Amino acid sequence: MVGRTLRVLGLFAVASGLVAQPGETFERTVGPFIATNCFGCHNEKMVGGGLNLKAYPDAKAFRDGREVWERVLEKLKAGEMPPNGVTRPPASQVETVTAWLESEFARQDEAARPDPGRVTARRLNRYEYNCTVRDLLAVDFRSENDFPADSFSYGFDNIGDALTMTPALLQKYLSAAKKIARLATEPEALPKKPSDEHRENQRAQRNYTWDRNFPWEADYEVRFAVGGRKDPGKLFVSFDDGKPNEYTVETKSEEGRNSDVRKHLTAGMHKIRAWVQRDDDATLEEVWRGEQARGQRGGANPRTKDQLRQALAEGTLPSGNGSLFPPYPQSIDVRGPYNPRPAPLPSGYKMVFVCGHAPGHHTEACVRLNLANLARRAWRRPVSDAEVRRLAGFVQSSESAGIPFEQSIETGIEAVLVSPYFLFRVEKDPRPMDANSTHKINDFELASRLSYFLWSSMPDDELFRLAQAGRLHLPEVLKEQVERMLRDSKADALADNFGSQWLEFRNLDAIQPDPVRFPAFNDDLREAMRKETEMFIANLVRHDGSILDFLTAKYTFVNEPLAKLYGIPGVSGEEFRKVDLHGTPRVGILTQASVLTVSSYATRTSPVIRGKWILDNILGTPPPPPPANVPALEAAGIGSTESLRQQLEKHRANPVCAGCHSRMDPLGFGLENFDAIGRWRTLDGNIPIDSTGTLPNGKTFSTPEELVAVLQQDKGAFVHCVTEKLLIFALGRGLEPYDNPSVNLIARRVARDNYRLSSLIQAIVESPPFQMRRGEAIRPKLQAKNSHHTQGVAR
Amino acid sequence: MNTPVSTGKYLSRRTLLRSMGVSLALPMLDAMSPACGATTGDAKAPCRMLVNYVPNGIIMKDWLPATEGREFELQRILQPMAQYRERILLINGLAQHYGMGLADGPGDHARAASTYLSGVHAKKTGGADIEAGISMDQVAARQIGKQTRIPSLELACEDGRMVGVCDSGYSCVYSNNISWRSAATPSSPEVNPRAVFENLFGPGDEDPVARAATRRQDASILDWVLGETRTLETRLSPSDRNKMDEYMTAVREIELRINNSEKRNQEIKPAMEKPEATPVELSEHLKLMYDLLLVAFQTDSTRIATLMVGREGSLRTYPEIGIPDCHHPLTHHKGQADLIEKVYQINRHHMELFSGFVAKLAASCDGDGTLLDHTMILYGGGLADGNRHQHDHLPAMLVGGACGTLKTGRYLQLQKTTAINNLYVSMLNRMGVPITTLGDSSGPLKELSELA
Repeated sequence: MVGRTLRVLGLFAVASGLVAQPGETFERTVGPFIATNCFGCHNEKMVGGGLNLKAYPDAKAFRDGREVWERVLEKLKAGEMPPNGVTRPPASQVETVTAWLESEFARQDEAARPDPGRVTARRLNRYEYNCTVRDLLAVDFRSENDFPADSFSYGFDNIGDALTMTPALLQKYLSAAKKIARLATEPEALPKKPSDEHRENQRAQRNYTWDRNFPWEADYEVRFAVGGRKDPGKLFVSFDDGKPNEYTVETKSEEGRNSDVRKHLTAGMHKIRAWVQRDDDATLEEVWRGEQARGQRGGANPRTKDQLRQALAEGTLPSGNGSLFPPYPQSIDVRGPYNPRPAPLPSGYKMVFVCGHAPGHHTEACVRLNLANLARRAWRRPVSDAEVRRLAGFVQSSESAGIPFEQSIETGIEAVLVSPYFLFRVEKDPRPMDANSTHKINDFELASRLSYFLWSSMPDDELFRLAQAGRLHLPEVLKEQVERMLRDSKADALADNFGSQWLEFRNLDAIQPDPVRFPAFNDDLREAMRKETEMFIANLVRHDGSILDFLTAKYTFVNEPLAKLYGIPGVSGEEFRKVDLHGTPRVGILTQASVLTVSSYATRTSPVIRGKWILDNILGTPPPPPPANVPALEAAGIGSTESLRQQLEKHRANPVCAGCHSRMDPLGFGLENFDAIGRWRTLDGNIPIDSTGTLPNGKTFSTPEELVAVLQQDKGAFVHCVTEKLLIFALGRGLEPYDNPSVNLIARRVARDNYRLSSLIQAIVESPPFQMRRGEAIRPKLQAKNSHHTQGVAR
Repeated sequence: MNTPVSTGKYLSRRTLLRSMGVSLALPMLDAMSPACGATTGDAKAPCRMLVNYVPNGIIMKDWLPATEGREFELQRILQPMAQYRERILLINGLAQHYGMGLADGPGDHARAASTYLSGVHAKKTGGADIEAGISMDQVAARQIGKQTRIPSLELACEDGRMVGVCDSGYSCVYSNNISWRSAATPSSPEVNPRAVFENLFGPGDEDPVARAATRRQDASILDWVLGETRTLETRLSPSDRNKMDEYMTAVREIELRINNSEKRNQEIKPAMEKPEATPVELSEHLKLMYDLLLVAFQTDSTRIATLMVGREGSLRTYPEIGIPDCHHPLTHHKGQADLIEKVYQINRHHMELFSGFVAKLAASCDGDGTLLDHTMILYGGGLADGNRHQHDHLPAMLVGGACGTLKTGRYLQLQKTTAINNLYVSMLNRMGVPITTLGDSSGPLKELSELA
């Protein structure tokens, strides 16, 4: 075990880019400035905002009050203090003071002996479990179908303290391990007879895909049924995105809406895709004739073809058979296998049986060899001979109970997979009870921290090899490895896992916009929204873009449904492509439909939620919870003839609310041109959209693009925010005040490196909290508050 | 004990269950009750308890009767229960004092859920330092949970997967959980009906012999795990050790369950079809959850359950009853009639689905009566008026006979505001849990004891 105590970490000994006049002191710069501009309110009597600045008369008091002065700096930089209505000092004076504060803080941070903090053993969450099982045994396991949701803390679901273990979950781990062990080692036995599997397109997706595992190479019968309106059209069916088969959808009979295809498929995953293209002209003709006929019988006035065409485009055309949906692929049935060949060995087989013998020819020595290799990879650390011996003994005892060897090793795999060494990422402390004893984590622990940070999965062979050689922690090796890992497609996890939580678009799953107000919203669009933001982030990772692109990128990724929503012409098909956004009002993630949708209600937008979203996730200055006994602000917004803006302005007249809402609401209103699913609009009902706003610092904007430009002026706040979010995710714990020096140093380095995403990731990996940990002061164990029940029992 | 029978009665019940989309193999109790009400032998039917939680408060004017006592009338929300008027006991005047702000400011939804069954004021935090209190169902599970294969069931119809802080500085954990194993550990509810089924009956595709073998194998794996883990603890700090303790506790509890199943030598193999996908609409989802509860009670797999129809502060929309708006913002109706009407419709919708469950309990033979006779359900929530976030005069309705210990068919208007924990003490006593106090209770709810 490596336990090198580190006194000084030289990694950040870099000069600050800020210029403060040499020789300037607190007494000469900040002192007179605050005496003139701040003491009026922030004195011992008035204590404005809970702050008495007179308590900091000299440099010593200043150094002890770092947190207070961080706040002062923040307010000065944002132009929020001195407040409106008070004489403001000239900008040059403010700049001198903020520059001095910043360089002084930087100096303090670099001199600080870092407290790396500590992180509690982290249980693999569902996402990590899936990725780990994929890399360990080549098994595609979807734990979200079986395991309960992981709890969130500090905005992420990988926080050690919050990831609990319950009997119910352990039960799931047991059954999952059994299933995974079988899938990894046993070829699927041939069935006695063909069977039928039916898959229903429950959400009426227009483009329905079924990724199905076919255990055997064989012939299969695949049957498609069309649901929805009985309109004429064509059904298209493709396998693995090959050339689609085409079928005419009949409208007369239900039978005529089914199609069969017999297909020879190899063993493994195949993608079956079905979609329906309605014949709009024929549909119009049919409806038109119907209305004409009804009109003759004295019904409502039949509509013209143009009116009908418009209704068709809006999706409000009356339906013939009562269905509201246009025709869609309703279900797929797979029947088979016919004439199957025996299934091949699963890919996991070779990963388990590393001894290399043919199936059925394993020797006794294989047991230990195979298990040692598996346990080492699964537990992400070297395993001792004694551990291997006990594990092998355990397997042999089930073998002697009459189970064949290859099956008995499944028991060993199960045991390895329910072991706490697999389920938890445990890091041991040489002196667990000494909070002052810091140490560098060992190379295996470092390998896991890296791989779960960048891949959400276990380390690969190269990381293990470097850890085994004791070389992984060497700065140049580490840097190279991070670069290599970011090039790997597994780094897409940063987009899917980190990105979806940071930007909250994981919540897209749970969102149900009102289908009446937003008929354009469906599952295809939901998927497209998610995909857009994921691709946007993955693209930044792969091409090492600037993190400022999150705010200012004039490009994005769309497919046809999304392009339609955005009003971008010339994009057809399901495939995503990069598009130029110049000439459109969209810029960066703030105008992506995913973000705009998850920050809205089902029936309407909410400037308050969007404003809060920006404060939380872009500026890193979450508003404090509303004070007691203030009625919910949002409540007023519904069902009134006043515009939302007028109502919110009325509420901001209340000074208790104004403090936060004067920051939150204008930000949200800046995005009002985008409706609750992110479509551009100029009217809300009959009320013209007004997206102008003034922030507390006096900066104004009148369009979403101008709002983004204002946000972008404060790069520092954004970089700081992203750094904090990514550091929380990387560490699996919330940040503490003692992390501030690390955050500041990382953020400064990112600014110096042109805001490259890779420099943010490298700086995090190099930081003390990532590479080190310390012991823990003994703290009273949480006691069940209702523990007196036991005493209260009447016996 | 486990005598299989195939009487006409049994078949008719099976047919009945099938028509509800549930078919069921033979639970023990059927074997002893050839017809409802006629009991042989001395076996006494056990008592079951369910807490059915509805979020975001209730439109109380459409809930509270005007007349006290036996002559009470059913208001609009409760009308779906008309057929079971004699099986319900409405109580007004209960409060969860520690759900209030008490200088912690807003966050009433988070507190309403997390405090509801514990009476312990939750610590305001958005971080990992969660702290609430053990809930009454888990107190019961600790004491009488061992009598069944599964100590308690926690179900919900809404996934708690939302990212971020849920309510004014409170972690989402608080709004998502009414059931707490301990101060720091919620007993997170299961949302997926298939997972509930598998938890109750196993994967459902194995024969009893194979299942027994699986259990033995599980037991040997857990045994090995315990042995391997013992060495780990010495090098761990307190927080890490707490995590490992959680793990070890889970291991031991599963071992206990395995032992219990072995001892009872009882193979329950429901022919109920395993649910597959989780339905999108609440109606479908909730019906499935109720069916699972029914089967769990029928097979005596557990006697203690909680069900969260929605997470507190739920933003669910109800397109199936023509309400596209999110539930929570609607409840802040500020007295506007059209919004109140929509909230009422949601309240009533929940009640209609619930009454379907009660109907099934009433139609289910159990020992010397029906399952409804031997069940005690608390239907309610941690908020009364959702618009004002009111934590007193909570909606509370007891349903079922509680094994003859409840005098139902009346409306009980308490003389003064009383801790709802008093009700819990009384409920747990009826479940055979002999506690005298819980959280902030001052003792049992004595008004409940009137049986005459």
